[in-house]
Amino acid sequence: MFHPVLDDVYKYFHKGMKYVNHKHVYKFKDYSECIFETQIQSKNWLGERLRGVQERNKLEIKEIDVAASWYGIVLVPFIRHYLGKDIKFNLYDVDWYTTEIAKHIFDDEDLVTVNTNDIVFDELEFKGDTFINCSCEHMFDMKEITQQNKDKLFVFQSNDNRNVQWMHINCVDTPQELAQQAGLTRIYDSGVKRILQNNRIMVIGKVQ
Amino acid sequence: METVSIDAVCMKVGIGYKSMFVNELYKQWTKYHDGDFYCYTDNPRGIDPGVKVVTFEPRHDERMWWNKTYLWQPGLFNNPTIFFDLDCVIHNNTNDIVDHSSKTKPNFLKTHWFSDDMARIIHHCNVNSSIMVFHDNNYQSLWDEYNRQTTKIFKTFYGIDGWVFRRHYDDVYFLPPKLAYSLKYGSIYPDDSEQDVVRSTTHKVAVLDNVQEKENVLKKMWGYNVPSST
Repeated sequence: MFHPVLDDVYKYFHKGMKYVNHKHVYKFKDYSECIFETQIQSKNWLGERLRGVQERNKLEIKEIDVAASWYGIVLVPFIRHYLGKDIKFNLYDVDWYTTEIAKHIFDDEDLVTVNTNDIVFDELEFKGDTFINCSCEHMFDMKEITQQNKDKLFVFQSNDNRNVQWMHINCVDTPQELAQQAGLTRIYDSGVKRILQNNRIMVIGKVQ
Repeated sequence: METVSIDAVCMKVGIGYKSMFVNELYKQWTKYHDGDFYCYTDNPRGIDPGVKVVTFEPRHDERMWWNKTYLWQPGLFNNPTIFFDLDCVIHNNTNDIVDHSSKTKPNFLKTHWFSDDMARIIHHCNVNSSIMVFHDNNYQSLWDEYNRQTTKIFKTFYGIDGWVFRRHYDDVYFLPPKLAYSLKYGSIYPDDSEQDVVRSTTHKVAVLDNVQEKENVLKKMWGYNVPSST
């Protein structure tokens, strides 16, 4: 897929790649996968639909917490493209090596913080008005987090690809299933997008 | 000096493994040990009468290995007890493993057959629960947390090993290297890491994680006459 945002994505990727090569060669495969076509398409879809939700409902989005953010180098530029460059991002990932690399990539940006936290088990206070998790298939139901953060807008993505052994253990088949898993009751938008061999599933909503 | 008897336990739940796997493991155990051999199962049919069968209702009906957590409950075993996955092969007396285990911490294998960087950074796990050693209540902390957060843990981790690695790494005791080995990957990286080599004279137990055509490979190791695949 071609998209003007990819210029920024590749700039980040290049910066991170030099660091991986120099400091964290064991992360090379993992890092390479973070700009796969599935990542590009799903983040573009998310940004586009989130902008639609924001505009239709006149929602204010100023600060976003991103769970399981991985390196963040696709999501951050796409959200900026669709929602504006002043948004603050708080990225969370459980893997120290991943966040170490992400911290290097964003080391000159005040609007991006990178945190090494286990969002499943750690008690965290999310500061943003919006919470994104694009990896719901990897972890427990988001209901616990939505119940503790009822004022926020939630954006969740999952998929139906159960063939990724050891990783995809909480997949869904429909947006309704994802909304139920997450305990979202006011749905602003939802959908299914075929990306390569599998369906990406998204729901944007709140608890009310 | 009074000798403490050491027992063994395995678990057969669901349809992944037939009773034959229990019986072969039991045969290997009795060749080198006097202690009792227990099998926790939801279906005792076909299990050798010498095996002390305990029937129980599995808590999980998918990713059945999570049922191994049932064995962590304090006071379940009267003697020090060594657990084997059904795809393990006992080559020799395993008392060394029990003797070198912790009585207070949960015991696990460490994946010494991978470089530690590869295990921790790429696999996000260097814990292996194919062999565990139970004393009175040395798994209590894991037992308590698992019961407290069963659904959350089960829905976040594919298997026990990943959970223990991520959440309890500092609490576990790793059994010493060179006692058990991985048939697929070797014994200890980089010194003894030749793949697919049976180390029956130098090691106590073989672990067959990730072995292709596992049943055929096991049958060969059990001494069955299995035609080679072309």
